[in-house]
Amino acid sequence: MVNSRNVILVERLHERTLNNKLLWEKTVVPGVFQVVFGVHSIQVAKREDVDSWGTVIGHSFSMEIYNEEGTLIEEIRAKDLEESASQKLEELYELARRQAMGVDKILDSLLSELESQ
Amino acid sequence: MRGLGAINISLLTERRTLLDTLTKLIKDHWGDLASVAGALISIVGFIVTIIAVLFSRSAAQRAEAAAREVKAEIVRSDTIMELSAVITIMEEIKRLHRVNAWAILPDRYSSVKRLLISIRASSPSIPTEHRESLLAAVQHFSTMEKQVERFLASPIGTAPNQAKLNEVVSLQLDRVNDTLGAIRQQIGIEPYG
Repeated sequence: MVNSRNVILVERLHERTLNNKLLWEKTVVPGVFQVVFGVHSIQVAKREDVDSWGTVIGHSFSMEIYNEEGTLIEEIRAKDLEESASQKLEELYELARRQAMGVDKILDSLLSELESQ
Repeated sequence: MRGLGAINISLLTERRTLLDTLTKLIKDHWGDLASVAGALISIVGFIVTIIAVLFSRSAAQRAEAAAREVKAEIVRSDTIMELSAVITIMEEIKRLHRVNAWAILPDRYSSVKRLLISIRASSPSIPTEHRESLLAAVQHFSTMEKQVERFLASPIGTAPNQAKLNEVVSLQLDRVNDTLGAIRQQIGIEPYG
C-alpha cells in the first residue's frame, strides 16, 4: 500500500533539491548519497538488481530515513510507489548525485576552460 | 524698672501656661501621639524591608545566573573533551582502515557514534549547523559500520575501499574540528574570525 506521506516527502525533497536548498553528500557506499536536516538524515540509493547468477538485470531506487541515532526508521522503494512518484524518486537520486559529485560545477569549469582556449 | 519686672513676670506666666498646655496635651493625647509615632516607625520599617527584599532578590538572581553560567561552562568543557576524544578515535579509525583491521573497526565506529549522539543530546549550546554536521557524521559511521559488518559476515566479498572510507572520515574530522572551534569561541579560548 502506498503511503501518501511518503509520496509527499519524495516530492518535497525533489523540489528542495532542485532549488538547491538541500546539500547532498557522498557516502562510503557507491551510489548512495545523504542529506541531513533537523534531527533526521535521508539517504537515496541506486542499487543493482541481480539474478541468481549474479548478472545485473536492472537498477532499483530507494530512499531511507534515519533517526538521530543513525537507526533506519523507514525505507521507501521506488517500485512501491505510483508511477509519477517513482519517477520523482529516480529524478531525486539523479539530482542528489549530481549535487554531491559537483557535476554542474565541473561542467561549468570545463565549459569556461574550453571557451578561454 | 518696675515696667521691666512686670514684662518678665508676664513672660514667665505665659511660658508656664504653654508648658501646662503641652503637658496637658501630652497627658490627654498620649495614645494618639504614640499611634502616630508607631505608624511612622512602621512605614520606615516597611520601606527598609522592601529595599532589603529587593536587594536580596537581585543578589539571589545574580547568584542563580552565575550558577547557571558555571553549569553551562562545565557542559562546554565536557563537550570539548568529548569532541577531542571523537577526533582521537577518528584518527585511529583511519589508521585501522589503512591496515585492514576490519574486525576491530565496528567497535570504534560504535564508540564514535555513541560519543557524537551523547554530545548532541547534552550540549544545547551547539549551533544548529554544527548539530547537523555531527548528525551527518553519526550517519556516515553507521553506514561504515554496516558495510564492514556485512564484509565480516561474508568475507568472500570485496573488502571495503580504504581510500574512500578515509576520505569520508577526513571530512568528518574537519566537521568535528569546526564544531570544536565554535565551542572554544563560545568560551573564549579561540578568537573569533
